[in-house]
Amino acid sequence: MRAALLIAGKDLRQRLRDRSAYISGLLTPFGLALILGATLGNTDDGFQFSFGLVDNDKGEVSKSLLIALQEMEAEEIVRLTTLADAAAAATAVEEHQLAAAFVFPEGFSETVRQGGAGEFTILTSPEAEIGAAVATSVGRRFAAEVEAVRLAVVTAATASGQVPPSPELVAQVTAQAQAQPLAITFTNSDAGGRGIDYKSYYAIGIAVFFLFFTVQFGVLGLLIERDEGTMTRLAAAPISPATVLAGKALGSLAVGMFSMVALALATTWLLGAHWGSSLGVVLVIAAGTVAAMGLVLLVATLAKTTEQAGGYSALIAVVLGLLGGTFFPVALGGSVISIVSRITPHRWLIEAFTRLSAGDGLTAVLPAIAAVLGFGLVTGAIGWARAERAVVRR
Amino acid sequence: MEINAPVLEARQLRKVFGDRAAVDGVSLAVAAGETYGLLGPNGAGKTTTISIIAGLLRGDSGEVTVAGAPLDTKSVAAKAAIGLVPQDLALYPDLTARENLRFFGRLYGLAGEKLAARIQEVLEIIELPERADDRTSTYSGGMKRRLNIGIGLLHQPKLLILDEPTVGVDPQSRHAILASVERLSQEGLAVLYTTHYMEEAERLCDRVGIIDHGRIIAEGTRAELVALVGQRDRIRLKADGHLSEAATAAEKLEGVEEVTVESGGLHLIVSNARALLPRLLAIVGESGLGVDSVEVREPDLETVFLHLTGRALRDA
Repeated sequence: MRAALLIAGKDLRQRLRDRSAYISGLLTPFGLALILGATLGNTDDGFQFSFGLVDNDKGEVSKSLLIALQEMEAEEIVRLTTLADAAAAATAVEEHQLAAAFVFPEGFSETVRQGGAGEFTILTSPEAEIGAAVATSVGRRFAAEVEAVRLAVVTAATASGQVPPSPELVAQVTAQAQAQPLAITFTNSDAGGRGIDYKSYYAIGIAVFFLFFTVQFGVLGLLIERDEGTMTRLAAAPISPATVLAGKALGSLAVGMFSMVALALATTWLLGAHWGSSLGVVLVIAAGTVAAMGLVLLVATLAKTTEQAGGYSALIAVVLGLLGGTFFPVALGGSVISIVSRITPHRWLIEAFTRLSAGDGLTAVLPAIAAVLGFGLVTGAIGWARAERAVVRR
Repeated sequence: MEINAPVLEARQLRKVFGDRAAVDGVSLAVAAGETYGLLGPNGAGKTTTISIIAGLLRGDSGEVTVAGAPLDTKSVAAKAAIGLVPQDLALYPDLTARENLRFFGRLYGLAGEKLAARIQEVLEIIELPERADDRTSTYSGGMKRRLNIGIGLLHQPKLLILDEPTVGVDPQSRHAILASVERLSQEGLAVLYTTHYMEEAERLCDRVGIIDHGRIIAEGTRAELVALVGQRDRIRLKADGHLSEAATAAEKLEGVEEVTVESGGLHLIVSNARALLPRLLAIVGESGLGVDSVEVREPDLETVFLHLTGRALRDA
């Protein structure tokens, strides 16, 4: 253990003398979090999207969307504003007060009731891309629901021989359809259903993303020592190959945890990000660092050269980071992405951090911590066995 | 020099890469105070042999003991008795010489004042005390080479393994390195020295093992190896004057086996050129010859290698 600490200490000393380490480990992630948080934070107020509704119809069909939006507002996903007319809605959207607005014309419900093609408008702000995308998604889903009701009316009318359908039949079928819950769902699963502001989300996402780069130095250091000849001395020293690996791992662990904690503190103080329970955050950071080390160690042993190992590690870190939601919530990526993301440690880390950020306690994030640690231990164990070749040739 | 019990014993080492035996049944022993040279061309198996001996590489078969302790890639006691100077520089460029020495010293269990004192001693030996606190990235190639050796010496090993330590070194640094090795051997260190420079092996080594294609094809002192060849020394005198008279006089000297008169001089085959040369020069002087130059060629390890393999050492 003493020798492992000695190697870790030597690595840290070298790391501290490497200016690029400060740039890649601290300045770059902090800068990115700052830019993303500042840019996106000005367009939508966190993940509470500001939507408007202009209901010139006052009918039953438009009312059903109003109900759905009010339910989303109760879930703190949407902040709904009712507007008098389309011009007021357009002005609010243009002035970025709203991410999007739904405008129903007069007679919309009656047109639909008669079996006609009702049209409504969604005004969206190009400055609020995510909010606009969510509004469009909601609108399409609503249109599909309306179409389903219309078909139900036509089907019922045909079956009963009432073509065109009588007003009583239309009212009956519509009432039955409206009795069913509107199949418009939008939940922020990462935040456990609660709101999380953009600055916190991107501070977390960027920190997780860069963690998988930050820990590379220790693991890839094995290959660098081999390239620079110093691995020969380490292998010749009266210590086991496992001690050399442990020293490298300890160095990586220290740097990974330090950079994450430093980012958490910096984004809290300077960006106003919320990370939640300190103990929980430290435990998730430790688990994340283990996962990152395991992954990088495994990837590094599959490469033939240090450059190749760096390239593979970076590529995998980017792909897993994208899939895992470090740049956008996986819930916005569709169900397939959401499922695939679960194989990435990034997804579980984001989930754990956002839960803590939303106020959940340590117990709530234990499953995510277990998943992240499991990932790290499995990949790390395979990588460890392979990495001994970097110390002792057979 | 008194040769003691073996510090290093290697028996029947063998290592195969693919279908090629890099080391094929190598056995050698080095005693305290002895410098053993492993001489052979590039690719002969020198580095693979010492990699096994230093515990860097797992051999397919064979045994190594260092200071009485068996060695493999995980043995601690045997490794602690070895100081390794790899062929390639093995330094941390962003650490100073003192930091490099301190790190490796601690890896070998040194600490505190003992370590600090030993670091200073080594810095003096490798003549780097003034630059001890500069990062090694600022050093010249020769300085790096000297530090490379210093790290191997730091923990006062019983066996020092030097793998071609003078490759790519300027003449001044080479001289300093060879002088250091001579001094260490005189102080009682067992030294295993690999080289493909015949001059270094002849200067430093008490015994030499000539290795080729993974096998030690001959082993012994320089005299023993030369005796294998059975050749005599050659002396070429470039001179003006009565060459025939001088040749007749030279033939009468004890140890002279053959004298040939050549254009511009004499060519002699003798048993011991160094012993004979003063008397030879006196006689040709008495014969009135004006000697322009003398060239003495003794059989050397190069000759031995050529004799044993049919190839020149540096062309092999």
